[in-house]
Amino acid sequence: MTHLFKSEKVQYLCTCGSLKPLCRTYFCRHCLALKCGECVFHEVDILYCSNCLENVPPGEARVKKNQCSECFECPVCDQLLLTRATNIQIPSAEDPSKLVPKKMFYLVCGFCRWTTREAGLPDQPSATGSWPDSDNVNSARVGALLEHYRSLAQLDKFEKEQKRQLKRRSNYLSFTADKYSLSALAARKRSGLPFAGSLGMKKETPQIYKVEPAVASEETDDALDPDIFTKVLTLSSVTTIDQRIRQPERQPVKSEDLIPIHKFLSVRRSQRCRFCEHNLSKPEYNPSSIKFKIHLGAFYHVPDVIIYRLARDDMQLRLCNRSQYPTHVRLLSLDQFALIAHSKIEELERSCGEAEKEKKSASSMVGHELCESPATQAANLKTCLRNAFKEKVNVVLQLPNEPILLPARDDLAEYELTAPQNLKEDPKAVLWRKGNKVVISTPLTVIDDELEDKRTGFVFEFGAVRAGFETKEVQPQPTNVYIPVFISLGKI
Amino acid sequence: MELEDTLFSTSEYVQTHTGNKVSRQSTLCGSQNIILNGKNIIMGESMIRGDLANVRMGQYCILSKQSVIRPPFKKFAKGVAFFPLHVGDHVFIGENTVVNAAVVGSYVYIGKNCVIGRRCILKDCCMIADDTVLPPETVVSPFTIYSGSPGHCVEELPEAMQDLMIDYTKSFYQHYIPDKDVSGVNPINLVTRK
Repeated sequence: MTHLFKSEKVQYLCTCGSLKPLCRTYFCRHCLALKCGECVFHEVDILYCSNCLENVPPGEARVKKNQCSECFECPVCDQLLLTRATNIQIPSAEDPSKLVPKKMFYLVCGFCRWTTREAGLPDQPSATGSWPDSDNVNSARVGALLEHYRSLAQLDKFEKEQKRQLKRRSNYLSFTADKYSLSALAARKRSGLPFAGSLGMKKETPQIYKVEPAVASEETDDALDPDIFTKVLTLSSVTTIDQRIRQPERQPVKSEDLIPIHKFLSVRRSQRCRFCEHNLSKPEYNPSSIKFKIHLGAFYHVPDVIIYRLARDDMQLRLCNRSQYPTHVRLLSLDQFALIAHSKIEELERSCGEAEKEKKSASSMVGHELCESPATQAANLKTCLRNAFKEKVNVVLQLPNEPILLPARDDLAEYELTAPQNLKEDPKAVLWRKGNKVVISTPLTVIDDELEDKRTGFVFEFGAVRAGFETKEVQPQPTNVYIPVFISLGKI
Repeated sequence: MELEDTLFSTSEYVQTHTGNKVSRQSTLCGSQNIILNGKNIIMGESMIRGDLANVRMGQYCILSKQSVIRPPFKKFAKGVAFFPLHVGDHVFIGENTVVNAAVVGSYVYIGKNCVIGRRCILKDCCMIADDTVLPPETVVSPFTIYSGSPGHCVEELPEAMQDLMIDYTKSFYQHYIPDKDVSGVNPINLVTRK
């Protein structure tokens, strides 16, 4: 059933030029453009342990080396270790001649049955938190190196800051000197006195933390055991490469040296648009929640299309609108799209020239101004057009001429069995509609029979409202968005 | 691609007034302990072990052929105890799968030939790929795909998993229709006729 999530049949052309299924893309409501996972910023939003589902703040995670302190993984098969309790008899504290039962705990792997007893670790008196951590023999050296590089970074930062200050000062000086011929500052400088302002700001240059450079030596201490040539090797007593690199600081050779590994933390990411830097997706703080604070998945904003029926000369497509606004969708052939896009680009470039007269260059624009600027829109359309014509298509569809109304998503609509409002639609094009779903007929013609795998494409034209306009009293005017869609039909 | 209609024989299936479609060939042990919240499909040769503990299933759950739902047990000093098993809404369980979990959340897809170990916790919006073995007490966090034996997290699911699963289970249910009156049950066909 992987086809549900990895649908390769219907793919949408992302702004970056790659083809993605709709559920794997985002729709930036500020740029009104499709963004895929490859052309957005990914940020670590939540660090959590995937076993105990506990949230770990980033600072704490860094201290704990991105590991969960409570949960352990099996060093052999990477699975979760379960805590088991046993009763042992120990001499009583009051009367040493009597034996009293005491609960002790050990860890066992539920998959390969490895236990901490195999590693020679004694049972612990408490269930969690008491397992000894392996100490790294190189920790002192690693710590010194870290300290060294931290001091280098500090020095670097200090130097940069100084340069910037100097630059600013000299600029200011020349500016004031030019305009007012001679200022108090310049006068001070001429007389050889230091700047009044810099007296308090003078910082000490950070010291570099010195480390001994590493020295290469001929001999290594991990020489091969001579027994390896004389004795028969039992494979179960030697660790695999995977098991060794799972514990990089120890890299045990013998399987009896394996010790439990702290479970590494998992991450949930938030996505950000690269162009306007608005958030596209941001999960909720709780790692077990499936809700989102911000969710601009294209699945909820761009009409979804799937193949409903497919025959040699006929295809039915089902369109579905999952956004909360009704929208009119027009399906354009690639040639129609080229015509419209060219005239749009011309129009935008004209208004672009007018904008330049008002001396509003792209560099001075911020946020939504940049997204809405005609120059940006024209550039977006151009790349979209260029990318769309890179794709090879060997089947042409006869698309409906009229725009099709897609009602908004309504979860109650499924309980109504009647077809909604009387729409003046061509019954040959629109076969039936139910709620926010419409099935349309698109007869197909093969234009190039050379390749067995048939492929077709069209462009969605639909109105979308830019974010930030909903709250205004004036009814927002939806902007037309063009998204090319390509459908692999396989052999027909 | 829209799902094809799956026809079943009216004599084989029992349909309840809440919309459950339960095969007569399935084995429901301890049926007084099994709650199906409606619109579930229980296919032939599958088994729900209600005799061990309570089993509660939400809406739009699909249990495919030859799979077993079996409440987990825990060993104590004095014998074993079985724990109730809850399955959320919109859950698909593939063929030949054994589910021994403590909790299966909503919008979960479990493939075929899987073994979900004792007292596993499957959170909402997760997926177990085909032929996966999950060891006991594994926790599967939301938006992850587990695969392999032993199961590992291999991939992330899209954020729209919830709606993808709702669409999938609903359309599966709507296309799972009795062989006699093909047009009568499916609401989509009703609209077409008008």
